[in-house]
Amino acid sequence: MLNFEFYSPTKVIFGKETENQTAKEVKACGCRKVLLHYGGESARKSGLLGRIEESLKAEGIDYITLGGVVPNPRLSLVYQGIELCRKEGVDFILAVGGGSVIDSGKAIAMGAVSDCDVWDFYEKRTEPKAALPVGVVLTIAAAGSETSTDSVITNEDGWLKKGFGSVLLRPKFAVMNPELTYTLPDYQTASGGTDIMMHTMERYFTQVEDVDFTDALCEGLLRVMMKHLKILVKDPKNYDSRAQVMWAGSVSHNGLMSTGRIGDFASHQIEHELGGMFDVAHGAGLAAVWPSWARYVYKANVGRFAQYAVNVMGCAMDFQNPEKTALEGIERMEEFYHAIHMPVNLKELGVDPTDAQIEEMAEKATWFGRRDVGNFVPLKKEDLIQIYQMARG
Amino acid sequence: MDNFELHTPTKVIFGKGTEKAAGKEIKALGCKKVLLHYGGQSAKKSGLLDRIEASLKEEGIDYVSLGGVVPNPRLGLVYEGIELCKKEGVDFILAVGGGSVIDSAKAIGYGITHDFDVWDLYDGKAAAVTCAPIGTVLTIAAAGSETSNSSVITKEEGWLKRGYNNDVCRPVFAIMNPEVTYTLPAYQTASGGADILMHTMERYFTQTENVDFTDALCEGLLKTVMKHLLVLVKDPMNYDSRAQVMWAGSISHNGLLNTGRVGDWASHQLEHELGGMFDVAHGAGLAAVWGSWARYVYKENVGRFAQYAVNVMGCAMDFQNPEKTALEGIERMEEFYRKINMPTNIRELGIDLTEEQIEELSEKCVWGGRRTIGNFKVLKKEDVKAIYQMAK
Repeated sequence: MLNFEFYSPTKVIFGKETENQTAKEVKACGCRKVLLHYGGESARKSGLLGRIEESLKAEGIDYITLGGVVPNPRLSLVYQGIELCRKEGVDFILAVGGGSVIDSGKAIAMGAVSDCDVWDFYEKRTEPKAALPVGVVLTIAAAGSETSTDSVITNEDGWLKKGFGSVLLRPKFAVMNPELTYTLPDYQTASGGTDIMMHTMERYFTQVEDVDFTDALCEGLLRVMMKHLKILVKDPKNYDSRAQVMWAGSVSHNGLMSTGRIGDFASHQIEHELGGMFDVAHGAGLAAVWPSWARYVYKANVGRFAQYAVNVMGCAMDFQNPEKTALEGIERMEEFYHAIHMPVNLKELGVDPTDAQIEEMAEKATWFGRRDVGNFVPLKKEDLIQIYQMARG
Repeated sequence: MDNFELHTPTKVIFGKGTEKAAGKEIKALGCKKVLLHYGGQSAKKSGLLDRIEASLKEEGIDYVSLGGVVPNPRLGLVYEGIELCKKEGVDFILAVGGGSVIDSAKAIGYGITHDFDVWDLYDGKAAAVTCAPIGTVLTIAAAGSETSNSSVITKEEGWLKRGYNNDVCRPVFAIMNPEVTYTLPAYQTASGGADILMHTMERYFTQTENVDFTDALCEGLLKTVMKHLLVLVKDPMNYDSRAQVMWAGSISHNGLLNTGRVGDWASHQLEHELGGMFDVAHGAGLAAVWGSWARYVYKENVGRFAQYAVNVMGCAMDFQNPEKTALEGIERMEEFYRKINMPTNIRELGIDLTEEQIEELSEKCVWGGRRTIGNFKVLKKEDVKAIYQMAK
């Protein structure tokens, strides 16, 4: 077990009708002018935005709105938000949406109080010194951005998708009402659930030894997620399943599951390039690449993949041939993805990259040779090309 | 699953050598005068206090010291600390020790920021609106007070042991170096471990339905802590076991495992009275009463006790007779307590209760009839008496 720091100060307000508390929480932060940041029109049509606007008015808090965030949120809208915040003297960003809206909100929060180009942070050219406070009303259980340090933005100029993390970006509060997720399309529920699971799986597949406690927490989270995602395929308005999934989504990515260990995150990097090039749903993209990643790397630690197979997927251990158990665990995971209608390869994802495109993605993922991807097995460009090829289906 | 709020702002700094970060963390908060609060002489003898004092000096932070905190920390010393802090202009309290020292520090933190008698908080007569900032350097994995919102203080007059919970007292940072716990006596390691387990068990035994996620986290925590407490009986200097237990100790009590559910806490109340009257080690006291509490209440929800038996204690489910499984789980838990040399009744705790003492404990426990205890089964004075009798 490694030394670590863990700091997760986001106040979570969870349950039915909790969105009505939003304005009170903004006020408690001492802020006066809010940027209400959101995505498409569903938040307005459902009445959610209206309720939040009413609650802001009731507390006497001024606000301006900026909608239009799309999946794989764009840098150009971030620039627009920064401009707007500066012009209007905004001192609080309220993100109403899922990971894309929150990530966009975080980028605006940094950019509004920094002199440099906000993209420089994502390019790791410089570090932000401050950020406006961000609050969240979550509408999809997926990214975990509501309590995390992270933000992922796509630069249209070259379709580069890059992530950045800083404690400055942890939201002040996260309002989570599972009921708000009732009307999500099935595909988004499943894709979000896959994302949640992958946040924990990336941490689970580690080479760090003696991490029993976080192993047990990870395994419990994954089993619960699979159980309730399957329920939601048939019964999307099941409050308790929506609630388990939503809360697990935050805990999966707030840092607890990585304490004392080094996560992998290769699958995320592999998917980021896909998302940048083909604009696929993030979770579905992860499902499409994970099995190929797993088969490419499992020999580096058969024991860990066998543990996953037994403790998470419920396989019986083959003590004479642990490798068989390890591979069975990967197969069962694919079966699970199919059960929730997620792809297990690029073909099922609806993407058919050319060899040149695979070369380009592998190139971008390794920052043109400036870095390796992943920690379970550090992957170079050639490894990534093979994994993309395996994932074609 | 119930609605909930969770706010855990404590920054955790975990691992080897981390105590050296104390001075820097305090400086980053802009505090200038520290009360260094600790217990007996072991922190001084081990060199830990010296290392911390050196880190304060290095950052140019002034400090005064107040040692002498004992298990079941006393109100008398809390008053002394409040006085000292006011006189010296202390703006930060650094607790170096375990739950007792941290709880005492929290009480002092409340005391220096409020005008009324600090005991009023513990007596349910007042509520705190703020608390002086508290930092902790943890030396025993047990109470979880290093990240929790609770504090338990004993008033010598009448030997009343009372707890008070408020988010304002959550420490701003918690430094945890598992190596610091290598030299704990085996009994304290086990007693601390029993306390950690009980913090999760109190939350686990709930009547709230549809709490799969926190159930799974609770079950994982309990299995891990049991595994590593058994390792530590034979190998007390095992870093990784010390580390699992120490980190689990914080997570067990920081509120996460409680989210969306109502915990029980009857065993804690039963033990608090024992601790107030006899000054027993808290975890050992919990182990001594839990089995009797469990047998007294399990029929309220046999399914939950069976789940505990199967998912935590590894029993095989008796599908024809779940009650048998439920009872087997309680027995296996008692076996586990014996393996780590913890008592499973009050006699094994070294106490021979008289009828009068049981009457007095029960009376105090329900605040003379002003409250009931527990949520899994709501217990009145007669129930409490019956459990003390069973636990004798």
